[in-house]
Amino acid sequence: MENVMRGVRRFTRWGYWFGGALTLLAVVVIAVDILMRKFLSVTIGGADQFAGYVMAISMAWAVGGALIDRAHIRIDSLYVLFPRKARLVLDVAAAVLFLAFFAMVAWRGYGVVQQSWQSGTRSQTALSIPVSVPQTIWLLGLLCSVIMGVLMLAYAVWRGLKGDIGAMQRTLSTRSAEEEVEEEIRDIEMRRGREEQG
Amino acid sequence: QDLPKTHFKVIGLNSPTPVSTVDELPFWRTTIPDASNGSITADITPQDLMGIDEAAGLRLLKLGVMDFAGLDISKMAGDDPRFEGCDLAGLTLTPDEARKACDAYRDVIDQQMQKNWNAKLLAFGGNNPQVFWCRDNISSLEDLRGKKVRVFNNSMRDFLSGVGATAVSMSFAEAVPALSNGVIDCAVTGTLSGNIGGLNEVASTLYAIPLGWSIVIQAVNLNTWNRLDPDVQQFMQDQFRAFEHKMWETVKLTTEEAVNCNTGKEPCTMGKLAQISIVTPGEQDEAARMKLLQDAIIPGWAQRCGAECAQEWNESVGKALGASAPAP
Amino acid sequence: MLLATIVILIVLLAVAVPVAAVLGLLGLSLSVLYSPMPLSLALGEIAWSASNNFLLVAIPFFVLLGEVMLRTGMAERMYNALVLWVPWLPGGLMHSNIAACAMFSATSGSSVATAATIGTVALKEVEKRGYSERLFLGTIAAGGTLGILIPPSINLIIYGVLTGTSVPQLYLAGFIPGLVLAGLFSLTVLIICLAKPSLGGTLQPSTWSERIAALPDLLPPFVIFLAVIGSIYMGWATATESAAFGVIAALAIALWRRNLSLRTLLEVFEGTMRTSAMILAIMLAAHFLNFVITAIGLTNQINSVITNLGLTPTQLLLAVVVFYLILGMFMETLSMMVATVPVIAPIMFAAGYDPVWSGIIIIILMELAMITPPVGINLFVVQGIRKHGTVNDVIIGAAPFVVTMLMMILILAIWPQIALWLPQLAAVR
Ligand code: NA
Ligand code: NA
Repeated sequence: MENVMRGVRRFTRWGYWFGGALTLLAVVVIAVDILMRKFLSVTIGGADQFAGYVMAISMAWAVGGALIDRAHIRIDSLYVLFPRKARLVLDVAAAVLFLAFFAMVAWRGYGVVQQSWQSGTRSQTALSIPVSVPQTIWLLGLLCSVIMGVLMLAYAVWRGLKGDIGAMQRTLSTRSAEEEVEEEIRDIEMRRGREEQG
Repeated sequence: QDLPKTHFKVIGLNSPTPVSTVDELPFWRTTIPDASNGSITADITPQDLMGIDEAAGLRLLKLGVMDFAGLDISKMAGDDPRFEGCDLAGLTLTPDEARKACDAYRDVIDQQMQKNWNAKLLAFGGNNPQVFWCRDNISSLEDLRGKKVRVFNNSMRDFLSGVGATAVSMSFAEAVPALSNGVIDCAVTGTLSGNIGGLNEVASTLYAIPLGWSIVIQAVNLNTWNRLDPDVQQFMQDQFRAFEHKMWETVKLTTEEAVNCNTGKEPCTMGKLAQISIVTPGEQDEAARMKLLQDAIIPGWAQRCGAECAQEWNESVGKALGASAPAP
Repeated sequence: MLLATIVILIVLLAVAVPVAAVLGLLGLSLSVLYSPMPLSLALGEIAWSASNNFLLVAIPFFVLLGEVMLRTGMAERMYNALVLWVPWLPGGLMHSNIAACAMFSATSGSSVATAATIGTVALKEVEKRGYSERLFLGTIAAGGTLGILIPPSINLIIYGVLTGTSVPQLYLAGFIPGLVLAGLFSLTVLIICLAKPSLGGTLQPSTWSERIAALPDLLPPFVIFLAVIGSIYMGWATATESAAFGVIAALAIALWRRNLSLRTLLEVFEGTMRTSAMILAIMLAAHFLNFVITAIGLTNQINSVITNLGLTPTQLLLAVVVFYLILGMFMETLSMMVATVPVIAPIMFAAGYDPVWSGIIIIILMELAMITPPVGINLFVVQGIRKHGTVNDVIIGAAPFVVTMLMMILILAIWPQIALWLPQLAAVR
């Protein structure tokens, strides 16, 4: 299970790199297109569409990583007032609901891709590429993101069931709560250390 | 006799267009309820207010997200190139010609929709002619050579490459400032929608060669349709026939009014008064347009659409207009 | 319907479900509860078209730009240079924070990126020099909001897209109010520190030669600003495309200064993707929610309620301010804009308010929303960087600036020319 979680983290990092590199490529393509248009009165044709596809794809591949890195915004004003166990329940619920929504997006997204395959839909730009190609990469990204999220959730619950509440919180909770926990632990350890010495 | 009580969910055309405000919204909100003595009612929301991508409308209709839909079909040419078949750039010069072309093409579109999109075609309509709004004075097609022009479909792109201009794709929202700052030299859009959208404030010349009419259709989801009482079907079909006629009348009316608005004359109820010089294409341009159609635009489209599709077109639109598409 | 919407929204938010999922699930539940049509079938098409909408491409680009500036040290050098230049006022570094936020805003399209970047470099200083931590945090949270007022701005682009208003005109309109608001923030700090000198921290004198020597560090932001804004008004690029120029400029400077290793670049990628995926997930869900609330007629319902009130323009403006003040406590700004501007803006236009001016007012209200609890993204960002204590410190520290922003709206209502002068100047050709 630890290995799985390590694998998940590595995989989501690759997702980031893939999306980041694509985004940088889109930046370059747009910049080149601007310059060509300005000075040569030529365009690549569809640079904007390419950048749009890149955005969709990179977002799909990174959205799971952002979940695992706990980067999605959660409103924790009330949450922090709950006791520790209740917070864990909310954490699990939050992750489940988030994954459920994006699983739904992916499921409906499959319909979109299928329709594009079926009608051989092409983009309405000079590039005129089959839309199903970027859509398929987008859908794969969504799927991988959801799968990674589910694995993370399974890992957290597994650690929780084994009694390692700290690890569960480090995986699922909002950052501020986690840091509070860490501080508590540090305090306890320091106190314990002092007691042992004294 | 009284029709059975029926309520429809409708997603309509883009709200700032005359075909939406003058024809479509009143059709669903007053004409249909009145004509049916209140038996048939509908909720209609323009698609732009719902944040729907224009190209997605037909797909949503197929899924049954709405019962009826107003659709800008040239935006769906990516799904099936037939959807731009009666609206190719420069193919028709007047609303009557455009109507004739689309009338001839009705069965082809309806068949495609029934076969692939679980939908039925009910009516054709259009917008104002799609023309060139330019920063500088343009007096002929030749003047467009080397210019950067914002266009939004493939057949316009073929037209531009034929006259030696550069096609730039950008959203309408960015076209106004882009024209103002000189990112582009011209933008192709409707004579009235450009006026409403603010192009009149940044363009000096309107070069009035129609690159299409932004043809729209009204369609119904087949499941909805087949569930309807035969009387209701008959009623709706009659209503849509009248609606179609009204849409084409509006195209004519607003096309004339757009000329008024853009040259600062009344009556101008739908747009803003502006001072733009309107350049009408000369005889030389007419010859150039015919040549472009035969050499670039129709063959380019036939290439995208395939041999069978070109054949269908020759037997319908081609026959009506006296043009022919080469087999790709 | 309205009540159910609010209840579901508050419950989901209160139990700390991620905002993106809250908006999406709210959309799904409203569609199940109130729509005869299977609206959820549209989720795929809407998700795809929202995710690949070119007008939103500016979001990842601006996030990327901010990451490059942060991780190659450009932002830190800029901050340190400004620290030397603005230390003599009571409040010391807090004025530098605001100046740095304003300057960084001129390169960044996002308030989150601005607060995060300046926060990361500024918070190192707070312990060293004995400032009131709360007010110090407040200057970053509030100053960071300038990111969407001073051009370039993602939110102004979105406003322009939603209302059909020219983005370059909006950019010009945001410029002077942005500087005025930055000035008012500084004034706020000054007044507070004069009233209670213990909050002001220890001043660190700097010499003129130090200040001159630091000037080159202010150059990179200036170059990036020129690349982004200049390329629009020189007629090279659209407002969306110009973000790409900013990224290229930042990368070029970093390469030239030899600050860009592969390792840094990969870190930049990670940071960019993490943040943009978070924002775009919210945008995607907000699009779907907007689709649902329009389809079930909620938008019309709200619209007719407001129209039936028969308000005078001044009352309407007041109502809009109160509306966004309340909604802004609970909602994230991008989703709030996508969900409300299509309804609110036309009502304001119909009452005779200028679209460009209305845009600036709405943007300032969005800035306000970023620092009001319980949901204020800049509060979270600053707290996120700080990594100790609770978010309440930031909330209290940012509170004075809420008043300042309301003042700014009053000023703009009395003198609309502050926003409209530059765009009108540019329109005369
Ligand atoms: Na900015
Ligand atoms: Na808030």
